[in-house]
Amino acid sequence: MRVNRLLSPRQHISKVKHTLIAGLPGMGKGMFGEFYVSQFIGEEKVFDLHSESRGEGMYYALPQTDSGLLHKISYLTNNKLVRYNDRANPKSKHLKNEIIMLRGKNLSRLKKLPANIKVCMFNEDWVTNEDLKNFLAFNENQAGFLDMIFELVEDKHIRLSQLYKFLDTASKNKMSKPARLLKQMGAHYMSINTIKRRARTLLRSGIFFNSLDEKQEDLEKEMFYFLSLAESLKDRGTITSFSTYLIEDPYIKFVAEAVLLKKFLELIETRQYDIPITFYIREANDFYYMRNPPPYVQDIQDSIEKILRKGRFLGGAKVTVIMDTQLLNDIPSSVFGNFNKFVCFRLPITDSRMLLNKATIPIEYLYKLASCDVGQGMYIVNGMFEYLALFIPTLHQKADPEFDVFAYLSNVYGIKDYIGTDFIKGIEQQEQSPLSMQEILK
Amino acid sequence: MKDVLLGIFKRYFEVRMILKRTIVTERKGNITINIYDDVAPNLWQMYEQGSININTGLGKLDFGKVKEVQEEERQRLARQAFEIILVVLKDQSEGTDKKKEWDVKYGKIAPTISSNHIELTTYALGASFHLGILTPYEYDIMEPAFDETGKMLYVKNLPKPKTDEVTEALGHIMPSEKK
Repeated sequence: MRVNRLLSPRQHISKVKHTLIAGLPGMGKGMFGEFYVSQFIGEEKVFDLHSESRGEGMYYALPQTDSGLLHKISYLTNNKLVRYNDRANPKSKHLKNEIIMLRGKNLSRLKKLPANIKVCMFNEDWVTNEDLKNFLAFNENQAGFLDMIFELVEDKHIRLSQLYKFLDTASKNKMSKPARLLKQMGAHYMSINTIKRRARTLLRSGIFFNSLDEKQEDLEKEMFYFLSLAESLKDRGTITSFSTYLIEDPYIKFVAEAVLLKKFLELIETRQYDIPITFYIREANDFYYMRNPPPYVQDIQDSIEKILRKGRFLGGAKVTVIMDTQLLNDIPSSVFGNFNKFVCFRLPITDSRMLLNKATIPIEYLYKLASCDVGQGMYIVNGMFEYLALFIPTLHQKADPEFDVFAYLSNVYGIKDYIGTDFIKGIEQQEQSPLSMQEILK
Repeated sequence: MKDVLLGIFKRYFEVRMILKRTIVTERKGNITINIYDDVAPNLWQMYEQGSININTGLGKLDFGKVKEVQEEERQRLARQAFEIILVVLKDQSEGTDKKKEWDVKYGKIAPTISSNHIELTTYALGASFHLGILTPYEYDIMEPAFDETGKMLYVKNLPKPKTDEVTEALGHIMPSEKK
């Protein structure tokens, strides 16, 4: 079948470009999301965030080889998009991908990673005193305690490792200067220990470079890098995926994502760059499932809303958010309200009723949506809806239990071994030597 | 204009010597529809002069006369298409002379209104492709949709046109909606 050139394609024009993709698991959210997002590469800088919620399923941009899927794409697009290794059709080629994995304890289990994966960490200097409060204090008492410490240093920037050292000294030696200062201000030992433990968890997690204890050697050997968003922004032809796969603790994962989003906002708001940016945020429901979210999750929610509320521009750059969620009810109405374009796969009727706020849809269509097959759904934009839309699956490989992406990438790019790094040695030391009873009672 | 031209060309190519004969029979309330191939002179009961049997009313089929009638029909349709396309070519010639452009692509001397219907149809059909009124390709089965920046979003299945033989042959006889 050839394309009838006389048929003018449909175009839906929306002033606000933010798109929300919703659908039950396995219905094709990720497949469509990757297809859609890959079309932005080259024109806009695409950042793929929170993609590791399903293990290592990140956007690796490797050409699709599944013949069944290729056949489906070919059928849906009248042979316009297809073919693996087809020179005449550049759409199926391997896209350049910068894979950034944030450093974490899981690295001590994996140890060997494909050489093209950059293991990055944050600089402690990026975290302001207010951020420290959000990451370490979960109630007003603790926030007050941290305020007190900041007051002691006259609101000068205090690093995470410095804070930890300060609290450590205070708790171990009651005659020390920090202990005396804290006592003078009326601090309670309980708070000191809680905050100290959290600071230690954050420091040991590896997402920050510990400027006091860690050796510079790993940095010099280029085993680990400081995250540089400015550098990633330069290349529009590359999709940059961020993964927290190496981070073990969900608390640290959220903190890492909060810092990441904060850095993004800082970069864009200060008008340092005018490159249009597309954020592809997967499984956004993960940020909203908690009934009383802790401050570090609220931080992420605030950053997302900030980007959404600004509409089309943030600072000097055009910003687009493409977000996916399982249920529409998972995200709050303030976030839902900021979207104008909706791609909906199968959704239960109780959930899809939310769409009635956005368009006049006869209820029969919502019942039909509840029984849609994979890849089928509804598109809603500017108060109108299109049903039955057949969404096109990605032209690139997607995470699959039968496809070991690390093995594949290792074959292509080689292996980078992290065994000899100071960071891994540190983790092994902490984990392999449990304390003896004598040491505890000492 | 697309529909008018499409109709003319369709009718032009449907002028055939072998046509469909539809026989509808009703027995005990059951309607049976049979469709057979038949030659045009038989369907139209055109017999050679002097060959008709008075008893049966049948005679030798007059293929020559039918061919003459059909040729005239073809010529008439081809002229219609040709005249329309000349008007369209003239109308679309803003800035560039579309007729001249198509004449060069056509490669032969352009026909006149008195030319043979084959030449007229070839010229008119080619010109309609050239102008983009009709397409030489198969029709798309999917309608694509794009967003404001030209990124592909989804495709929709187009309704399948009714082109099967039975529908065409029966035409108005089909009592599909008269229940």
